[in-house]
Amino acid sequence: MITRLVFGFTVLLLTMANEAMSEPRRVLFLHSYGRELGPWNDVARSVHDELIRQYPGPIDFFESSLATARDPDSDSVPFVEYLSTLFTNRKLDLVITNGAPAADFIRKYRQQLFPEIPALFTGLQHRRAPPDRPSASYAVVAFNNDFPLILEQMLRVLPETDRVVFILGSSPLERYWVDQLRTELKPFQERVTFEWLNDLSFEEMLKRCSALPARSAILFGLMSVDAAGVGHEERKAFDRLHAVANAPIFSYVDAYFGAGLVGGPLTQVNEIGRQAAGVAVRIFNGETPGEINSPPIEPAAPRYDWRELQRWKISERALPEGSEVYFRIPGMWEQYRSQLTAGIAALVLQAGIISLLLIERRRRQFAQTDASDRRREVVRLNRVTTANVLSTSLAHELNQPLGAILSNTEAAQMLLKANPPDLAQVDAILSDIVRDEQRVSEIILGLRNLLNNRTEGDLRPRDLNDTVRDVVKIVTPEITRRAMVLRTVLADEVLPVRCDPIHLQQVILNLVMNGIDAMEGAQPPHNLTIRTQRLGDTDVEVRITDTGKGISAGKLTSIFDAFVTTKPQGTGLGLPIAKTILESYGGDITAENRMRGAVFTFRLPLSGIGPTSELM
Amino acid sequence: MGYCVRTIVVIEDNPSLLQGLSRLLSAHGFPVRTFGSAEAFLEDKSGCDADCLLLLDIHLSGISGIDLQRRLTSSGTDLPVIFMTAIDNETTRQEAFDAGCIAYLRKPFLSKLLIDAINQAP
Repeated sequence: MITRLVFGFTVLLLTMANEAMSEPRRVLFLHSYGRELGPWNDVARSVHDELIRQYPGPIDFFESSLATARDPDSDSVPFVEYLSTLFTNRKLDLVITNGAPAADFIRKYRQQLFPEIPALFTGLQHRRAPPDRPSASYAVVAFNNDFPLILEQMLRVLPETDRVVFILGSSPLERYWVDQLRTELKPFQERVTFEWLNDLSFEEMLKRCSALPARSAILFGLMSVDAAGVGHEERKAFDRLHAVANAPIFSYVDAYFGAGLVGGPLTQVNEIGRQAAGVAVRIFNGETPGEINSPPIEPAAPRYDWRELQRWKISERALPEGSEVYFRIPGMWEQYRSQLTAGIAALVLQAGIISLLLIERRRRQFAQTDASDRRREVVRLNRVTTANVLSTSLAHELNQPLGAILSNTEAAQMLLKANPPDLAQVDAILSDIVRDEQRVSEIILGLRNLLNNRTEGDLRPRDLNDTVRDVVKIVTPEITRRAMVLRTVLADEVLPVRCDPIHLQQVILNLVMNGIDAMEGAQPPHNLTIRTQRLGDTDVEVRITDTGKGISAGKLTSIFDAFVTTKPQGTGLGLPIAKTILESYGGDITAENRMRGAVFTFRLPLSGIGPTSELM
Repeated sequence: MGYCVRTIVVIEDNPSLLQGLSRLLSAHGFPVRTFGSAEAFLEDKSGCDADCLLLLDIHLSGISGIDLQRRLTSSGTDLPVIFMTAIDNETTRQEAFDAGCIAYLRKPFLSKLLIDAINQAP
């Protein structure tokens, strides 16, 4: 039974608590200069937002502005009556004042208007807070402005400053602050000249600030009501000032930090809002306002706007220790770090690859040049070897006509000494001498071609048949000496090929000498045939057929490999050299056995079709 | 003119040289018989008596000059032989002298060498 009673009581208490929570808290927000006037509008917004964030239940906000703050001579009575009427049937839970005039107003009329309602004074300087705490039933969340510190740091970052211009309006509060600042900053008057613009209209202030002498700085205090009695929305006023000012602007509060303030030890508006909302919540929760002790909010660590530092050429090294720099516009590197890193990496990689390729290309060029030189030398040595092999028959071939010439000459000499000389006979002898001399010239020419050691290439198109004829002249003595038969079956058309005739001659020579050697010792007849023909529109073909011993089956596939030879005294280089030369001109060569002997067939592109040889 | 009237038989397969030698020897007063090959000579040796002198090319196509000399020697024909060659090497020279010759001439040669060799022939 008792348990049931306790349970029922608990449920009742919870229900009442829930009802209390669901009942909105009614808050009157009393502004000093109007809800839109800076910097109190920022403070009000901050307190409002923080209160909603920190208090879980619903809050019903009422807002009103103290019309009398702008004009000290105005009568407060109508406004008191207005508020009294407005809240006759509305129970308030809290009155929050924003700014010193509103706090003064509540202190003065609280008993008349809201005798039982807790109050919270915020948005005001600690020195402007009511002195009658803690007995009073109100709490205070104030802040401290350290103007000497602000000026000290201003002169530290801009040490050449010799003039400080103060932007403050003409309302009672602003005049109060003019007086305060004049007193507080007196020690600086020896270092800098102060210029107070509070007796000017805001337009005049702007004009002045757009033409300040060099080494000036502006300290933006408050701009609520100017000397002409015009009220100003402070944020807009600040923006206009920043737009025209030709000197850096400093302030005490961070409301305009990011909008053009250089920076310094600034009071944080959001911190005021956060702490004021915290105190309000504690009051909602039943704490006595007068017992809530909230120490004044001190300026935060110095903060600076990077853009303004750049604009006024202030070095970051000149900033006070512990300063933070905001709004840094990232440089190209900071902004596109990953892209730039990737780009640079790609460039480095690309450069590396290009370097490697260039090195490789250079190395290849060297290797190719080296290989080309070696091939050229091998071809030359091959020709010398061929010349050696042919030397016996060439000597024979040369000495025969020389012998004839000598014999005929001496015979002619003797005939001419006779009386009368047999001139007809002498004439016949001279004709024979001329013929033999021509024969000798031909042989010497062939020999010169064979032993030609020039290095430059000759790539004029030539008739392949002519090259075959040259070879025939060279090898005929050898063929004759060995009692063999050399037959040529040449295409009855010009077969132009673009390759060095010396190279081509060497190929044919190698194949012919190979054939001659293959027939040596073989059963007669010893017939060697050279055929040339055109293959379509692209190629020419040369077939060299012998009636020798043929190529053994085991060597047929390797016959073009270096050092593979079927001859006891062979070097095994003749055929590989022939193949290398042909391939360098875009040709190819094959070998096969016939019923008797072998046939070597090579192909070359017709002039203008093949590549330039690397043997050049 | 020559001191001897012995017939000089020239066997040379190079027609031009054969004719040149024929002219030269004739100019020196020698009766000359010419053959283009050893085979031709062997077929027609008429008029080639013991007083003949053979001027033989070593590297004849077909039967070589040295082989001809060997054959003649082996058949009992002992004629003075002068070998001539366009391919001079130690082997050839040795073979020539082994086969039997009174002179070995390297083509081309001056007529004085030939005539001296002929005149010195036994």
